[in-house]
Amino acid sequence: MKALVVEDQQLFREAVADELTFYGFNASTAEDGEEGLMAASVADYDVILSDMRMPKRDGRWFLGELRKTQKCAPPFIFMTGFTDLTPQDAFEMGADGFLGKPVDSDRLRAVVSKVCKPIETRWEQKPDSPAKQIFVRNFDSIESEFTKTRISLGRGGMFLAADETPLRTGDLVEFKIHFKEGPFRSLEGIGTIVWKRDSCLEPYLSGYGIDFEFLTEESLPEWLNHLRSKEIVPFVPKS
Amino acid sequence: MRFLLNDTSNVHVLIVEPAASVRMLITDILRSLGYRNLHSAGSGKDAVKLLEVEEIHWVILPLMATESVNALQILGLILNEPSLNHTATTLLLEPNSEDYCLPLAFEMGLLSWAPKSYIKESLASEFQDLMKCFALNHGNVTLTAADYLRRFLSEKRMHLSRQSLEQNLLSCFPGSAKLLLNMAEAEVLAGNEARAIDLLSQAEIIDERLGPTCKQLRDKYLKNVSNINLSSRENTLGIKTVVVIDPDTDVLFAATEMLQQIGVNSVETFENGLLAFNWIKQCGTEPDLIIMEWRLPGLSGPLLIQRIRQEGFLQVPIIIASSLVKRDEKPLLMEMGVDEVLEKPFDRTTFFSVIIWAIQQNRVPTEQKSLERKFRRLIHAGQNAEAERILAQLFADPRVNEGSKKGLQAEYLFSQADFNSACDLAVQALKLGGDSLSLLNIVGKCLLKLNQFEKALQCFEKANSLCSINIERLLTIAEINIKLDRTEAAERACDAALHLDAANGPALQAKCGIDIESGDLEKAKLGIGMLDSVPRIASYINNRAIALARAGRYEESITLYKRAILCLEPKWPELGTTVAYNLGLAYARYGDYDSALHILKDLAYEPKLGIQRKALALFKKLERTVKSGIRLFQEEPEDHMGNVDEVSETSVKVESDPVKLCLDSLMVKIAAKRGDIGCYLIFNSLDEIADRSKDLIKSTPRFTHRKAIATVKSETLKTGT
Repeated sequence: MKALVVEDQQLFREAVADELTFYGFNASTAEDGEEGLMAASVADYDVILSDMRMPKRDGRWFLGELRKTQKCAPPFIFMTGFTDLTPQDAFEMGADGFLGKPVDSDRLRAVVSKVCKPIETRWEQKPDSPAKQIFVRNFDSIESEFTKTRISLGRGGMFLAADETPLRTGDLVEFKIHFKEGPFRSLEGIGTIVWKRDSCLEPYLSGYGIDFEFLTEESLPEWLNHLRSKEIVPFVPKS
Repeated sequence: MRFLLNDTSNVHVLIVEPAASVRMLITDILRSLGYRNLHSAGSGKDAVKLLEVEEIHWVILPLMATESVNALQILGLILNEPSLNHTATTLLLEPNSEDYCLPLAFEMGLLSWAPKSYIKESLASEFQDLMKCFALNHGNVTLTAADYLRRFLSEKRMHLSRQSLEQNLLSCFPGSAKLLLNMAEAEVLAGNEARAIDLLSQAEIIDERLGPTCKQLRDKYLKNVSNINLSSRENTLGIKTVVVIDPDTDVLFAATEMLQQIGVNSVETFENGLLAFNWIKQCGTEPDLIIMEWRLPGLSGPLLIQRIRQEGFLQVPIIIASSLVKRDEKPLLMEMGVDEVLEKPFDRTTFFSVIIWAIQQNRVPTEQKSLERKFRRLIHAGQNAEAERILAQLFADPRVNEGSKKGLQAEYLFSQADFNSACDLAVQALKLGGDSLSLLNIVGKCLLKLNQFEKALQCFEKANSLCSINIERLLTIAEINIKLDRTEAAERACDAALHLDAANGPALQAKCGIDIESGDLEKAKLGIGMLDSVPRIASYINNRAIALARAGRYEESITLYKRAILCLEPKWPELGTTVAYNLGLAYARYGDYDSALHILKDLAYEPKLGIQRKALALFKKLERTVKSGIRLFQEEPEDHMGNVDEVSETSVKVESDPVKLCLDSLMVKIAAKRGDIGCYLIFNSLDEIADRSKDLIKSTPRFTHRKAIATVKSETLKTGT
């Protein structure tokens, strides 16, 4: 397994690279976005971890350029203390996850091991802790205009509209979504809320950005078909 | 535990109304709104019976002031009965004659109220408004209740109460821009325009989209205020110097950028904890704000904080910006005086909301905090008159909440050695939602003085479970365990303290005491050799020996004294003789007068010793005893170690146990936190609460929780499915 760590500060670059090496990765490093993109275009990485603010080209630019050609892979994780991008925008641009900096080794391990799993097995394991709320939704078809404003699927999660958003980022939720027609009939599983949006003054509907953790046996084949049918950039779409 | 009012298919509603026709009307309305599980009761009494057996989420009821069980009594029941805690209540009131009860009802956790009406449409629209309000507040019961309460207080022009409500709400929902706007309005109404102006600007910084609303408020209330430069954001927060410590230079840059945007010109940044500490120390004046990572090179976060506070910088708010603080470390941070933890990665909005909240919390209560600190210093110095004056000042301040007031009063009474009352007050303060850690400490200390060791231990252990790195507390736990003859538990607590700080003097002394007892004298001697002072060892030995003697294990207590003398004498001869005197006393108590006389003889005729006079007196007494043949000790043993008296058996004589404190039920009560039940613990009316409403809750209806019983009493009518 190969990992690329893009970070301008030596201390963090080496710490993360060491940690990944310890997990069995072959870790390469780059010092800014431009170098990172160069490295990513000549070698196939299984995961890229990048800082956001860097000299020359920053992490945002790097992600944008990378996803022009490598739309769904490799997984891209931001590690940053302060984020210039809102999580909504970052996931929309094709980032697969966020880590605070200095990086917590347990979180690093959990996040990297999840995104590095092949999609066939990534959503097989049911989380141990219970979900805080269950969303049951019935729609006509994923392709209808009305439905599109209320649910939208990305590469690893979805946006789901909700009138009230009392839950918090990091909460687990269960979802049971059914469609009357179309390529998709059911989507059932458990996910983590990665962002939430309140309705007021937004052009979009209020709701949650949900990163899938687990999908039921029934839902998994349809979901995998969806992933294979086209190249999707957003990990969790904004709307 | 969260309940969603608009989850119509699952919410169980109880409609209480004496008039059958009105009851039907309300039932119909709710059914048309989609509610399926409707129960009804014809009186307050029946309602209580139903609450005993059915799980009800929402009660709708009129005041029923003249009935045997009225609405406020039911509210009180819901509040005090843990199984009912999460039931919401809506009052239907006659607008002019019955609304006097609302301030008290909201204090007790009321969710909402509506004017009584017999017209279907108007009642229906009231319920629809409630649903809308609930949805707008994202399903939060506290914010929903606050909306209703706010409207009521504004109509009645109860501005002071409104101001205190907004302040408390903000502390529950830190950094909420919308609440800042409400606070601004409350401040204007209370005549505090300058603060309102600041608050409006702060709300705008947190959430730029609130600009138009802020403008509306400024136009409405602040048009006539001159000398405001609205365009300038200079010093919006009134802070000048900020220190940011983070190994990540990106965070340092971003923080500097953002702070400059709000007019902070002096931002000092450090990548290393030690360098930062040296700068702060050299600087001499307190910075206005410190933002720091938890894991730092040079000097890590936990140590850096302690050093900053030890250096006497007690006022400066500290924000930890890190995702490396473990969940169980958070209460510990609070005890160390950390204001906020900002999870990484954070963005602009969160950054500002956290900072603004920390500054505000620190500002208004700064005066309170500094007054409290001064109060404690005075108590400590025994300047009671001055301490009382400060206490009175704090009591007169409406912004200081009831919990804090009672807590301070408890501390004062503790200093006056009125331990029973102090304990009572501290328990009351806990129920009012005061700072549980410091209050648990006071309760524990009082119980110690009252010789209720078991309960005291429970208090300290509870406090320790909230914050496990307070070394002093761990040693207290060790000491109580020694008194209770639980050496292993004592050793565990002592080891925990040493694990935190291996060079901590008091902890090392306690450890030596334990080594002496276990017979590891070499280790103990080594330990004692390294210490600069050892009063705690002597106190440990004495406490332990008394505990042993009380358990009838005289031989063991005598062995303990002998070992202690062996260990202490080489380096601390003076203490050695004190222990020797105690050994003599122990022999005497045991009835071994020969051994006692033998030991005391050496002490009694050695004029250089401080203990000589005491030893001589006891020696003579013993000689007489031996001659007369009457047992010397019938009464409780005397105490001879000055510093032991804090935990001594004889310092306070308790005839009865007036502190009817059942810790378990107390813990249930304080389990309901601010923001759990409407505005309970958030709203305390500052305007006079009508006596009429207080009269309504003079008695409590009987309540026995019987959820297993499915049968509903015949006199109550159940409708719906």
